[in-house]
Amino acid sequence: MKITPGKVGLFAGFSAIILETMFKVTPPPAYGLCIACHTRDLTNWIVNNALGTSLGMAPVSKLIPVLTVIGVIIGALVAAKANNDFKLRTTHNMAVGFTLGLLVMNFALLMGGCPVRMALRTAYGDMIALVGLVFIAVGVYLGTEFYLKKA
Amino acid sequence: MNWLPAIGTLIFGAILGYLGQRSALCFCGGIRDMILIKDSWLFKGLVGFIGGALVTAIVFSLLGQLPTFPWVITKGLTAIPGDAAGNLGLMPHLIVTVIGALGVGIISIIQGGCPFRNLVMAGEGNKTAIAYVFGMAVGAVIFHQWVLALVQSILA
Repeated sequence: MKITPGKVGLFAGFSAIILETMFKVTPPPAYGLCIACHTRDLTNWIVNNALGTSLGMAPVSKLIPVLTVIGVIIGALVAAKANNDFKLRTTHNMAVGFTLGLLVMNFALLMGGCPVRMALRTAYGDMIALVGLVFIAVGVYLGTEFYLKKA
Repeated sequence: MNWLPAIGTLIFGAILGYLGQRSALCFCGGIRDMILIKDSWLFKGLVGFIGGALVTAIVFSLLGQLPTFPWVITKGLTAIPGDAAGNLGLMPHLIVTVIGALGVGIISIIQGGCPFRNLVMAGEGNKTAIAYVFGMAVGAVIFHQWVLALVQSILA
């Protein structure tokens, strides 16, 4: 069976709800899968334990943080190694990449999740998340108009 | 049972990472392809995700396993993460959502993928994506150390 984005999306939506119900990745609601929030939880948990700070995070991660990020990287690494896709490379300047990651995290946390969680919240009936998805599309449009087409 | 969320997300994350690498799933990339070349191949990932989550949520709420579905907008939004998030009205949530969404959309185009796609690319050995992931980690600390309080003081 061919692995298409549509099928993987379907599986991801299904597993996000399974994570919430079976593995209690909640509160807050619609938290089963979120790259930005789960990275935040893991990082802040490490920083809090190392430096004794009290940076904010979801209650589910207070004692042991969620490990989605580690899982995704391991899964992608295994897939790339198994299919001979693994290759050390750079797409553009690493300092630019670092800065963009820093900025995207701030914007994502501002709207309360990465695109994945906005879609999950939309499926939950949260109209603000639908507004978020629409404006992500607007941002993508602006990005393609002023960056991709000019470049 | 504190370890259950960690174990669950680790296992599902690994499966998703594997499938994500094979399919190049990317929500922002899907929207980009729709706009740029009218190609719906990646966009089906976003549609499938919302559809899969919706159907599964309906099933589990009928089984009584999902008391928070459907989640109405007037109840406990966490658009601004943090303990004081519930005190703000609807308008501030909309404002931060629009600003954040525009930022995420534009940056995802410049970087070449949404955060999920960049995690997968980090696993593939893309050093820019690895730098991006570290940037996300630092950004989270910066957000909770300084930006969140600033935003709340502006909106309050």
